[in-house]
Formats: sequence, structure tokens, C-alpha cells
Amino acid sequence: MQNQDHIVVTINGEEYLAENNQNLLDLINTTDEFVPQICYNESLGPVQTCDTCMVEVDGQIVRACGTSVTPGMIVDTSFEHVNAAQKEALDRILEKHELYCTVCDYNNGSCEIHNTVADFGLEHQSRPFEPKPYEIDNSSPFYRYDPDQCILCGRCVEVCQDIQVNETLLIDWKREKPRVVWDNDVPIDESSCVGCGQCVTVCPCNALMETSMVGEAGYMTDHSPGLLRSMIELTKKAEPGYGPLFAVSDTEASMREERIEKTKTVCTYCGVGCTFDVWTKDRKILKVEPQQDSPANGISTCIKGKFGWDYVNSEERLTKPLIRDGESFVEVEWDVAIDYVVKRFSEIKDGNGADALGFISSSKATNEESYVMQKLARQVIGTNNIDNCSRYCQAPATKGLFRTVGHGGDSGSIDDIGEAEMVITIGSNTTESHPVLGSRIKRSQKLFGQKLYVFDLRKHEMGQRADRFFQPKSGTDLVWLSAVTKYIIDQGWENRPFIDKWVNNFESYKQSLAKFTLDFAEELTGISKKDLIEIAEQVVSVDKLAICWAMGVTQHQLGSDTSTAISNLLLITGNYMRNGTGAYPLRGHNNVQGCSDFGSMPNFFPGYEQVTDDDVRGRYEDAWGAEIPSEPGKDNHEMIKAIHEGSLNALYVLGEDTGIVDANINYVTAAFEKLDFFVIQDLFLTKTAEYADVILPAVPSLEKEGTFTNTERRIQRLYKALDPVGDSRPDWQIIMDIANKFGYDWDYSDPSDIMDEAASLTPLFAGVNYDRLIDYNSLQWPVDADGTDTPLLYVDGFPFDDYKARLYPLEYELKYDTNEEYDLHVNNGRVLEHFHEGNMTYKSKGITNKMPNAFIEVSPELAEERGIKEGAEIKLTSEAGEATGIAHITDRVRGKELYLPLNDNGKSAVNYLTDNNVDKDTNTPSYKEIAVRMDVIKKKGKSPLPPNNYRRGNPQPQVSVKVEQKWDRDDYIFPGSQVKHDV
Amino acid sequence: MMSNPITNIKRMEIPEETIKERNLDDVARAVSENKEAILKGIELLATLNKSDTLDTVNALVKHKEDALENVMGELNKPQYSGTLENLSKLFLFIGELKVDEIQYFADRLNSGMEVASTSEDSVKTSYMDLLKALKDPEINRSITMLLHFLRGMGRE
Repeated sequence: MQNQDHIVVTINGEEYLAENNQNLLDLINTTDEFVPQICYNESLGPVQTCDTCMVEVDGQIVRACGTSVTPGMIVDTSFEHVNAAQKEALDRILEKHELYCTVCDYNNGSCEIHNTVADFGLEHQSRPFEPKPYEIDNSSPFYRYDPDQCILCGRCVEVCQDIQVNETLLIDWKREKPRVVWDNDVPIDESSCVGCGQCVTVCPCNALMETSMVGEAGYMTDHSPGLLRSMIELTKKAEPGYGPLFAVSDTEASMREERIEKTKTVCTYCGVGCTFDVWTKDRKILKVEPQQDSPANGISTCIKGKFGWDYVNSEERLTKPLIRDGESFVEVEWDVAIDYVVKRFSEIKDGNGADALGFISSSKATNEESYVMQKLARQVIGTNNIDNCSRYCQAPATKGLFRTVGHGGDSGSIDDIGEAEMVITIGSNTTESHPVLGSRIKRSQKLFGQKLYVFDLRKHEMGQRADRFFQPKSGTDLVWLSAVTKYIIDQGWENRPFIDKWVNNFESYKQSLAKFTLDFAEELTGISKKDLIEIAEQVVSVDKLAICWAMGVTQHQLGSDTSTAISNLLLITGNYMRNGTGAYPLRGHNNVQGCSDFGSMPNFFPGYEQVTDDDVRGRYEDAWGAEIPSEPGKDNHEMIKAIHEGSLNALYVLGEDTGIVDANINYVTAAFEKLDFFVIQDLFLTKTAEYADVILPAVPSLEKEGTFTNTERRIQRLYKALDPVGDSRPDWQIIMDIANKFGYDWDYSDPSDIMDEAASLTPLFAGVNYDRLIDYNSLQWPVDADGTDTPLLYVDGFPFDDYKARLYPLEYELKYDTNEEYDLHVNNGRVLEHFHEGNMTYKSKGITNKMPNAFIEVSPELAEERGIKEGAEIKLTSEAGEATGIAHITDRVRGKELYLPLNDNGKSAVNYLTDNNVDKDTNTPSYKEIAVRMDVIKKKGKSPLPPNNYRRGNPQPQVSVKVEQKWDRDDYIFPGSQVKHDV
Repeated sequence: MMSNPITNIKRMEIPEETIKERNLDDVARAVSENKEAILKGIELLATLNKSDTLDTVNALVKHKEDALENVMGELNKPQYSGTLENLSKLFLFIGELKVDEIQYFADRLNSGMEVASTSEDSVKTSYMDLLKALKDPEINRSITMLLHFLRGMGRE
């Protein structure tokens, strides 16, 4: 069948098979023929600005990148006049760009101007370089723009407008000397730029460069500007033809490889799982460079992944184990620390039993580290008291999916979300919490007509961009979801063939919906009946629907039920089993998926096999030579409660600032004070670590090997880019030392040994090994023994005995509301710039300069009612505690709803306000259900949002770089026409 | 037992002697592993020192930014611009020369000069002598060659 789509195209006399409508330049690039190209980048598609890819097609000179192939097309790339046109285009570029490669920080072998000129064999500049009348823009802490080196290819504009879809950059083609401008021509730092750095990544030369590269990358680039200028002049004088210039600069470029290491790693922030090369020189991090082959992100990054790595070299890193001694921590050697930990663990186990100890793994640490942590708890100590921070966020989504479709993960890949005809997001501030994934949705909506429906309390960017934006009352998503589902069934619009073949429980589920009438839903959610009907109509009108949700759904008392309702709707409409459809609980941390996958859960072994299952437990008992309790252990929430009750006396927390990020932290830290023995393993002396008896210094992702699993269930390898600081060590080595001090003989020489053991015991990961994960290769679980992975789940049915999914009936009762005393609702979540409690991102000067602290968003109407203005200092009091902060008045929130970013570990920390209420099915704290009253401390003051924050910018939306405006200029002649003219 | 939050850290005081010892150990190990290279290095240093080169290099490296600035400043003056451009052009020119042919030409020139040096200045050549000389095969070959050369040189 596929062959019918193929056509024959003749290039330089040779015949080639092509796909109909394939881009001609793409086709040429698969052959041995050379055509110069500078603005073209496969990830961006044709922008048609540089004019270098001139070819003759059926007798006419055209841009190859702007041409689609047609049957029988005759192409020539080598005629003299074709080459003359190519040369003319290159000459024009060199009028705009000085080649002083040897003293250029971008001379690292990948400069596309350098390489194209060299490959073309251009020897001499026909026309002199013409400086442009603009200064370098050094205003941003992250990157700088040098208009004099800019060739106006517009890749940066394309990526900003249509890939990142932040719509900040454009080229002003109207002025005499065009240049790239930010917003309405303001300095970079004052624009709407979100610092994603993708413009820098795609820039083919040194016009846009990371400031961390400037003066650092080259051997001869770190000189004062005057000296550098004279060296540039001399370079140009002494190296007349490009040949000699390139010989010298290529040599210098290869010398750089001697001291610049490029290491593939996986981002350590959110769950999107961006991968990139990190460039290091000694301990200096020069830049982060995402790759076209990066599976989840391609060339994309966000501000944190691209520029947020300063914490790795922070002076505050712990470099030696610490033991509490009176009012101080005292540095000790490793053997002393490990001996002490093992002695105290043993004493407590001997005295109070294994279940008196609790273990908390880290969603920041690797899969291998999650595996050995749960093995330590189960094999060495003999308890199932092991959990991780997915308890705080994602456990309800996993529960909802287990109930209905059987796998606790995203149905497909980010590509599927991009491909969907309609995307619904619920309780997800996608562009700030999962920036690169948010951009995929924005792109599909902007360019490919994807319908975007956003449900959220707060009108964040996704809300502003949505085709329809709804603000249901807090905690009522289950109601509108069920009402829409019921309406669809009542109208007979359900996907009957899909349900008949693949879904159980239809009748009992249908009956359970009786209560969810449109009237009921309108009353509870505030969404009108008319809107509910329109939502239903829209949902059934598309063939491919993907639903993304996040903490706005899960962190409620009905988090699991609401997640279940989402899956029910997808089943009723047949939106599973196909590309472009499915359920996407957007995982929050880099490895929150993997940490649960690899067994750091009280009720599951790795791969979500129940500890209560005798066969499964027997498998692990045999492998580990130990008896494992048959009952599930305590989750995080239950552990804290047990400490208060006196039944849990020792806690070992790995990479988690529990005392800030758990709900109701007054209650949590009070528990820490009651512990007999408290071990913390972290990079820093965190708020939680202040309560510890022993602090073990661990290393960040850049200093170790391992794997992370992203929201797509994608397992990806990280390689060691730097040596550990001081005496700090990777978590897996520390845990192994503890186990061995207990008398076990774990002998992992490398994390791959751990993965091999996990794969041998866990059917879900049977075929996972490091060889299959080399470099940018990845595997999406389940992975068969032969290495076949599963980018799209459920293709052959659902993982139940009869391969059928299950509709799951739900009840609803409004559990939370504000009241007379506590009359305001506090919503909370992320901001783009910071991560979690901020232990990592506040170490970045640039990021902190852009957003120095958390703030409290107040609606204009509430501000007026309470008589406060921007910068007011306010105190919020809930039943659990109080927090103070500075007000930012914005219409992102409305009425009596406040928003407090969770990225603060000081007096604005939101968890002083949260209480002990939890999702009834998973014990996930209902962080999103806080009622407070507000007291005004000061009526106005300095705005908490600095003037250079992107939220104050003025984006300039347009599609692509508007190259037509270039072509319309009076001084523009198409190079193909010009050579004909000259001839 | 209550554990109140604390933030004070007592750093491990490593005696200076211990640090020194550790550093010396590291160096000794490196020396022992690279004995041959180190000895050769010492020899090189000794040679450089004997000729006073070591002092010069040392001073130059210390003042490398000044030195570079001086050199760059000087070389960027207009009077050098011609030289620099010529330098590189000369380099390219050399590349274009056909050395084999020039060699042939040079051989001829040499033997011509040899003969010329033995001739006597007092003898004068008349118009007729010139015509007669054309019959001399050696002279004829030279003239023919020169004519070819002139034709080639004038070609556009």
C-alpha cells in the first residue's frame, strides 16, 4: 500500500523515490548531493530566509526548502548558474556576519555558517562585511544577542513563535537594517521572554549565545573587548581566503574538545523528561544543548532545564556526612556515619520491630536508587514501610487508571498529545508546570487546528489561550465530567462498537450516572447547562481526544475518583488504544513515575505487583534470601501519623524536603521532633534536615549514572558529567554501604547491575538494560524480554484477565467549601521559574533575579473590597496555621480565590496552611482545599513581581518569521533572478 | 528525646600537616607513575634554563595579556596592513607557481649566466652578427623560448 504514496524524482540525472509532497530539501539531504543550507533545520521546517538552497526545478531556480516534490520532477543542483545563485546568497550572508572563527566562542565544530561556507568551498568574500547600527544586547542573565553577527535567518523567531509558542521574538523587516526584536523592541530582559533558551539552541551561529559560553569556550576568547576586537581585525587581515582561516579555526575547535566535555543527561526538574548534552569545562557548566534526537523534547527546553543548574556548584552543597551532637552537626568520615546509622537502625529494630522504621525514596533520584531503597526496607530491615513523594501528587491518578484501564501511566507519548484533534486539560497549569509539553499543545492549537479546552480555577496562560476556558468550582471536576459522560450516553453518542468489544460494566456504570444530571452539574460546578452540552458535542465530534490532568485534580479529597471519571469519559467515547488519544496524568517530577515503578511503595513491589500476592512475594524472597511481610506498609501520611502515635521511631528520607512539601507542616515537623532517629540524605541542609540526627551528603544527577522515567513511561539514561563534590556520594552507593554494614553482600559495581536485577525480577521491565538505552535511546514500559517497548498502551487490549477495560461507578459528595470564618479559597501550585520548594532553583542567580520570592495572587475585585493594592503585605490563616506574603493583584484569579505558588520555604510556604485532609483512596493530601481568612498587615508596597519578569512583557503573536515582508522589500532581489540578470 | 531544628555545622578540622601529607602523597604517586616523562621534563627545563629561555618564557606568560595587546596594537597599525595582506597573498602566490617549469627556466637562466660571465665586455655585436647568431642552434632555442614566453604572458 505504502508504495502507492511514492513518486520518482530526478536529481542531477539520478532517479530517487520520494514521498508525495515531501520537502525537496529533505529529499536532497537523503542523497549524496550537496546543497548549501543555513536557515533550514529539520525540527523547525522551512523558514525560507537564507536563500542558499537554490536549485533548478523544471527549468526554474527555486528554494529547495520551499518546494514540495511532485511526480516526475527534474531537479538540478549543480548547474553553473545554480551555483552562482547559491554563492550570491552565501555572499549576502557574509555581508552580515564576520568570520573570525578562531576567536569566536561558537567555534565548536557546529557553526552552520562556518560549515556551509567550508563545504561549499567558498574561498573569498565578494563584498565586505557591513556592520549594523545596533549594540549587543547583554541585558538578560541567560543569553546575549549580537546583531552584528546575526544573519537574519529567523530560526529564533520560528522557534519562539511556533515551537515554544511564547511569541516574543520577531524580525522587524520594515526598518532600513532589519534585526531581531523582543516584544515591541525592548531589551531582552524587559520582554516577555520566558528564558527557554530555544532561540539560542537553534541559532546557527554566535548571534545568540548563552552568557555562560561567552569568553569561556575558546582558548583565545577571554580577552578584554578592545583586545578581542584587534584580534578579530588581525584574524581577518592575516587569513584572507576562508581556506587558511578555517584551517586555523578548525584546529582550535578540535583543541577545545580536549577540555570541553559533552555529556548526555536527563533533566532533573519536571516529568517531561527532556534530554540534552551538558557542556562542562572542569566544573563549569558552559551550556545545555538539547538534540533533535531527544525523544521527549527534541530541541526544546524550559528556563530551568536550560539555565537552572547553578545548584550543582553551590557553596551550600554538603560535602561530608554530618552527625547531630548537641546544638550542632559535626562533620564525620563515611565509616563513622554508616556505623552509626546501622547501629541505631539495629537498636530500634531489635527494640520495637522492623515496622518501627520508615523509608521515603526520592522522585529526584534514579530508578536504581528507588529499587535499592525499597530493597533495603524489605530485605535488610524487613518492613514494607516504604513510600515516595508520588503520594503527594500522583497516586490518585494512578489509582484512577488502575481501576479502569490497568496501567498507571500515560496512555501514549507526548507525540500523541500533539496529534490529538482535541485536548482537554483539567487542573493543569501546563505551560508553567510542564513547559515543553505545554508548548506541544500550544503549537498544535496554533498551527494545526487542535481544539483546546481548559478547565481550571485560575486563568493561567493555557486558560487564556484555550478555545474554551471553564472555571468549575473547586473540587467539582468529577461532577461535570460525569454529567458530560451521562449526556453523551443519554443522546446515544457513546462509541458503541468500542464499548461492546473492549469495555465491561457499562450497564451498572450507566445507572450510577443517574444523579449527574445537567441541572445537578450546573448547580455544583457553575458551568451552565448550555456549556455542558457544547462540551459533550465537541467531545464526540472529534476522532482523537486526549485528556491531560495534574494536581488540580489529584490533590483533592476525591482525587482518585475524579481521575477515574476522566478515564470513564475516555472509555465511553472510545478514546483509548489509538494514537492521538488517551489519558495523560502529567507527572510532576523528573522521576516520580520511576520512583513508584521501581517499588518504593508500601503496597507494591517494582512493576506494581502487590506485596500481598504470595507468588510475587515468594519471587522476591527467593531472590533476596529474606522473609518479607505480606501486609502493605505505611504510606508517607500514615508514617507521620505513626510517629505522633509513637509506633514509628526511625525515619530515613532520601532527597525530599518533607518538612516543607508535606501538607500541614507544623504537624509534620512536630513529628520529626518526636523521632528517636532521623536520617536525611540530601545535597543541602534543608529545612527537614535541620531535624535530622544524621545527614548523608548525596550528589545531583550530573554527578552520577542511572535512569529516570518520564511521564510517558520512558526510561532514559543519564551519564556522569562531573565528579562528586567533596566526599558526597551517589544515593545508591550510600544505601549499598548501609546494607552491607548490616551484613548483606550487595555487590553492584554500577547502576546497570541494579537495573539488571530489577529487570530479572519485574515482568514490566523484562527487556530493560543499559545497552538498549545507550545515549539518546529510550524504552517505554512495558518492555518485553526481547526489548520491544510500548509507546502506546492497550493496543492489543487492557491488562486484565479478559483484556477488557472496566467502567467504574462513582459517587459524589461535596467535601470542601469556604465558610463564614475562612471565607477565601487558596489555590496553589507551580510557577515556571522555580521548582518545588526552591532548594535548587533559588541557587540560580539569573532565575532568582527574575523571580526572587513567592507571592500571593489576589483578584482585583477582592483587592478593592479589602482596600489593598499591589505589594500589600497580608497574612492568611487557616485552621491548620498561618502564612504571610506580599500581594500581587492580577485577574489570573477571580473573586475570593487566592493563588500561592508552592515555591517557598519561608513564611510564605503554603503548607503552613494545608491540613490533614486526604484523598480518601490514596491518602494524598488535599493540598488544593484550603479555606483561609485574610488579615492585612500593610496596605501597599513594592510589587513582589520584578519589572523584568516575563509576565510583564508584551508578546507579539504571529506565524513564523513573515519572510514575505523580506521578499517585499525594495532592496530584495531573488538570487535566482539576480544571476540570470547578471548573465 | 526531642530533636529541635538546628543549622550549625562544625566543620571537620583537618590539620594542615595532614593536608600537606595527602597532597605530597598524590604528587609522589604521580611522579612515580610518570618517572620517564618527569625526568625528560627536567632535562628540558635545564636546557631552557641554561640558555636563559626559561626566564624569558616565564616573563612572557606572566605578561601575556600585555604582550598580546602590544603585538595586536602594533600589527593593527595601518603601515602593517599592506605587509600582512601581502604576506598572505605572497603565500597564495607561491602556491600558484609551477615549480617544475620554473626549475627548467632557472636551469636555462643559470647556464646562460655562466656563459655570459665568461664573455668579454669589449666585443660589440653588429646587426649582421645578430642575424648570423640566429643560425646558432643554442641561440635560436633561447630566442624561440623567449618568444613563446612573451606570447603566453600577453595572453588574456
